[in-house]
Amino acid sequence: MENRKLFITIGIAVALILVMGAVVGSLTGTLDLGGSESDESYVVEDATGQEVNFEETPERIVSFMPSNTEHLFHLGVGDRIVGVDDYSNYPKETSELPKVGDSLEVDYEKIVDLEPDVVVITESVVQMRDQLEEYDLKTVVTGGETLEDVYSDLELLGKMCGLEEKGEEAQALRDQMKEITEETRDLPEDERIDVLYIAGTNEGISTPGEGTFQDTLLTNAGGKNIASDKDGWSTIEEAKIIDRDPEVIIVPNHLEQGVREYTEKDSWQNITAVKNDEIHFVDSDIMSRPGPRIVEAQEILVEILQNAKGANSLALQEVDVNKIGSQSWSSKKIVAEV
Amino acid sequence: MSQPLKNQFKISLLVLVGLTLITSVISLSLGSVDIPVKNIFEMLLSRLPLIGRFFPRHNGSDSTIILLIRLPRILLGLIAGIALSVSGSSMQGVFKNPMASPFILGVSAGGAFGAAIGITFGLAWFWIPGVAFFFSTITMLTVFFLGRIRGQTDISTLLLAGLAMNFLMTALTSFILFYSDPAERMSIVAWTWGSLSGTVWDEIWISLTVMLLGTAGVYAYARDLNVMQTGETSAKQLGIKVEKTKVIQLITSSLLAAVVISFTGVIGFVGLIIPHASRLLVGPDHKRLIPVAALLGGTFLIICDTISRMSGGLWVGVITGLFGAPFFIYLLLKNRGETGW
Repeated sequence: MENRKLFITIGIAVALILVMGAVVGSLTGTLDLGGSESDESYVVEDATGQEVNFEETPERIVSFMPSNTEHLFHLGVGDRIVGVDDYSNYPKETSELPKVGDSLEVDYEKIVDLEPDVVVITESVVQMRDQLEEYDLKTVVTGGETLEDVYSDLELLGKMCGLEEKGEEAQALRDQMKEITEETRDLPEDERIDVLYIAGTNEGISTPGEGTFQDTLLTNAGGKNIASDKDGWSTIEEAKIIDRDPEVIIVPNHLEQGVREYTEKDSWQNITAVKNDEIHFVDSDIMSRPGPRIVEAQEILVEILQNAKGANSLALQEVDVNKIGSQSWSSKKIVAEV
Repeated sequence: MSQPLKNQFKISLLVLVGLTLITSVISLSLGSVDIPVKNIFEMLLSRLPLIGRFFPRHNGSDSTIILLIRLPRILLGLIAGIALSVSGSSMQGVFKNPMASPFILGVSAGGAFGAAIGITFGLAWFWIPGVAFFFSTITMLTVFFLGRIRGQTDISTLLLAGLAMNFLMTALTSFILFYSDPAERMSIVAWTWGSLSGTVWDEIWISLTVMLLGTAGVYAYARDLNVMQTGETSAKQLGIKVEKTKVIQLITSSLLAAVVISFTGVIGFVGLIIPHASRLLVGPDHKRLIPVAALLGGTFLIICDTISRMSGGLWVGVITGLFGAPFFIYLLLKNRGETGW
């Protein structure tokens, strides 16, 4: 019995010492922060609203997320990138850069070892910021979700790199997008084409809804996203797809096999897009990255939807299924050339 | 305690302490960035009080990698391994059965559910272990009372009750994570299989404190657990309050499991195989069993987590499960012979 009291007392004593140690440690840890500010220092406000202070322009950047990498190369500062995430594969210069893991398993050791001046991440992995700050690394968070994010991210990264351009690149991108969608973006409701965009087939069919840049690109291309009644990313029931009867189905090409399993089902055969063979497989990277290549994504979508419209009006005039089939074949070829 | 046995125990302890240290150093030197062992020693020693000034102080990225990335992770592995093994030793002592453990009885899953609730409702991080403890204790006591038939613990009912609670708690965890935030969906897997990645020092202080308190709490009852193994009637005759001891032990072991699990997710089978292996090494005396299980458990989890790190992030619970599940089957087969199923 004496023994027991002794152990419990020792236990509590050790516990108290540790708690005090932790408190003192965390206090002294916060004290020596707050560096001196030089004349060249500047502040950028990132997508989360956090102000990040730079004493000098960052020369070593770790870019986490392919869209950030593409933005940085687009801005002409690709040579400042010292490391990228596993999925950054464009432009081809990225193949020579050290890889620092993906969002499921971030290789923090590698990131720290690269001694970056700043790590660029997106809001979808914003929890990385706490971890990186633990290692005294600066982070800038981009939006990477909506079409507006694409422009503002480009502007943000330009500012972060201390570039002269004051959002010209973003404006140029905006103008390009406008030009591409000149004829399609203001189409009246009844001339729009019902589109299903399939973004994943793992846990049911997932689709981009309101607020995603894919939804906006589809709308601007003269389509009507059948899932735009939902906010953000969600899964859509098969019954709903059959009910809304999309005229065109767009699928990133890495999902080809998974989607074919659906489109070969009997229950799908009455969907207009399946009947007319209007299922288009498009480059996954171009279509899913909120980076500067949205221009290409927009071009592809306009191309597909305009051709589909041609096929559609044809279908109204003469109900010849075979002809419609060949028509959509040629539209696919055009897509491939883009 | 006879003299040769006592020596054997001391030698085992020494060997185990050495083993734990060597494992930690090897683990510290492994990772995606190569850092020489000599530098690692200097980094560690230069941070110590008194003798620290005799060693060159390293700054820069290597020292961040060792002191802020690898060391906390290894320490949390050590602490979690100790806590789970001591928790398992206590449960096996209380139920007088080698198949009892925080994972098998659903206590770990209960803790994970509590932590997931805490995270979903945005509680401050230091409250999360508390919520985890609350739910793991509820799970433990539910399983305990479900497993009792006329004042006696029926081991197969106990295991089935544990199975049911394990499923319920894992399902509830996945449920709230699934609906809380799409980005959290991937972390359902991490919660179910456990991961030590991204450990920070704050987590070390809390889990270390609770681990020391809990281990002292279990060790303080080592004699009572010993006597209870010989039969509850004789224990009562010796003046031990059997029911009270049992409940205290179950709550303490839930605490041990819950706190580490609220930082790591569910790591299974450590609390099962380590106490059993320790019993093979030093016998059933809890005064020896608990320290040996603690060291063995800490070393085991560091090794499993190092495999996890080197494999590019395979969840540590998958690795302990690959070792542990076959071992559980072995225990089942062995028990079958004894109880004449």
